[in-house]
Amino acid sequence: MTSPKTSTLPTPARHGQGTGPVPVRRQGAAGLLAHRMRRFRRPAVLVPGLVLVFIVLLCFFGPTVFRLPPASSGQLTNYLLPIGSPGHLLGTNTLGNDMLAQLLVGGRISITVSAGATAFGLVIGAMIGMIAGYYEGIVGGVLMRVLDVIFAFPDIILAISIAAYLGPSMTNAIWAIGFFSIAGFGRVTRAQTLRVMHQDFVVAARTSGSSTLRVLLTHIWPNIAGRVLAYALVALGYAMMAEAALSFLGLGVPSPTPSWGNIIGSNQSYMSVAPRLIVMPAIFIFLTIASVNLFSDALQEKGAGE
Amino acid sequence: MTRIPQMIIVVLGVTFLAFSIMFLLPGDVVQSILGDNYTPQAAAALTAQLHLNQSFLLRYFTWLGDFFTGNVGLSLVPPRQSVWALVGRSLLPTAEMLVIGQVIAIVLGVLFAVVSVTSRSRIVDRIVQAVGLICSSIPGFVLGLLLLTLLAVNLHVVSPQGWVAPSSGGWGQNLAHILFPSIVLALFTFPVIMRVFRAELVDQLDNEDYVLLARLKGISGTRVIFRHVLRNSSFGLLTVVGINVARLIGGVIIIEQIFGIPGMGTLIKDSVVQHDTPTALTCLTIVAIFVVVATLVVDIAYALLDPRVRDNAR
Repeated sequence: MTSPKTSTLPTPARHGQGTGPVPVRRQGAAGLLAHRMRRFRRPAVLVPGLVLVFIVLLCFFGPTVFRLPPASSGQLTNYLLPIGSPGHLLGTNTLGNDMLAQLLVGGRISITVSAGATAFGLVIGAMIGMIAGYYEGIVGGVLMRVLDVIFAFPDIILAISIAAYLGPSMTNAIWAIGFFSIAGFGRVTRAQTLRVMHQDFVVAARTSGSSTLRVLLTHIWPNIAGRVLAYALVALGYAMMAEAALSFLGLGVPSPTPSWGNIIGSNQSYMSVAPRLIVMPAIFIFLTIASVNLFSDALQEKGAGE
Repeated sequence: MTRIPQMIIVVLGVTFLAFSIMFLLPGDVVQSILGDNYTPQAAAALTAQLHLNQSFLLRYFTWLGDFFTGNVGLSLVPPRQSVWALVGRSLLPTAEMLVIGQVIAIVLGVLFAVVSVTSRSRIVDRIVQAVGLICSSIPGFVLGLLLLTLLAVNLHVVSPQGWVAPSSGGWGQNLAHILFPSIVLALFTFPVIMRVFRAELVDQLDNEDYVLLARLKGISGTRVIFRHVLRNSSFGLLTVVGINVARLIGGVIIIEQIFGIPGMGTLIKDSVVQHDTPTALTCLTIVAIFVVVATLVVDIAYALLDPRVRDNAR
């Protein structure tokens, strides 16, 4: 299995002749890491990155830190309290549930599902892509056709079918969304593998008798990991949209467990009475996806020149 | 042209994947069709009629033969209508939304890209980028709901929902109702077109000698763009438009739910949820084949239009 550690280790300097100059003076791993971290210090990277971290921390620790009531413990007598009510900072929904708690707990679910789905797509897709790039002949061709087949189904349609088959639940949403993200990861990884396949260090490793697995994991993967992980951010944005859409259609996480998508879905009919019930989760979804998009844009802009 | 055999393989793969998903769907089909009329004899007869007692592969090939000869059977949901009738009725709204949505998305994408490249001001460029970011970061259904709330419920600018068949309300009514959903569809798909086209424009302007020549000849910036660069950048545009087809179809399924339009998206969602296997299978396959064919058409158009690719292919 591809351990996530290989991706963060700054090993490419060892055999990076083909991918560009090695600009760093040998200062040991710490110096290299400091050099790598420098690119995170621009506002274009920093701002969306921090917003993202803030949202994640808020969703995962907020309910405990602010001692919010459980997301679906509301009293019907408290229904539709306005924003700023005592004890309910963002008001309550039609069932009297605290909106802030709903939004934060819902965010936890939405983030977990999309991150889990992306991780699943990354692992499976990267494996398929690397194998397809490594064996360019029949094996590669067959694997590419398999990815083409998955690609032919519009993502949300595939997710709906799989979720309907598995039944609505959090893990099933991860499978359903993860499955369609395989094709994108596979294509990106294959293209990147092909890019480095015929460079000297790979040829050298192969001729000196390294096993295929070793070549793939220690020589190819560290050199393509950056681009593949950059795509993972793009995929994370898509997964978030898909999770929201799936929950909205009632095929994601089943209520009463909230998620950003199903909060919107269940309040859809109240949009003329209390539009805030839809606008608030929409703002959360927008902020998260926009930060992910901006973050990946900024990283790639920098990464292109590297 | 090695693409066509490849496409046939992909189409077969698509039918296989769709069939596998539907095959795995749980639920006793026979029980749900017969309902109160359930008798062991009727159940046995229906099981044989639906080939339910055969092996997976045999059923797949039987279905594949039926599908390509146009014999896709009846929907399992009462009243058991023929699947073709259901699909035929749902095709028009979706096709209209796809075509109108795609056209608006292309117009918006090209317009915004050209404006952001031609205007020298950083602010305009920033605004264009921001609009693109906003539209691509809001899920389509959220955008649709918000616009619906604002324009239909609060401002009464557009009619809220529904679908008027051309046979009942005439084409004018029909198009008036389909326009707003199509605009929403275009709004969340155009940023991709804009980004790629903008990158293509910048690339041409910066790197191509013909641009430099035209400039040196004293042709104005706007004229260079409209007469020369736009034409050469349209190949990149073609590719994105092809990719956009799949995204649009994914968007249609959601937009149809919000606006209550009885199109393919609604049909797919309902049939999958109700475990109406024949209908779901037919719809899934049709959509996927459509995507494969659209991609192929774009590739062929690309090859026909671009002399460099055309000559290499020979």
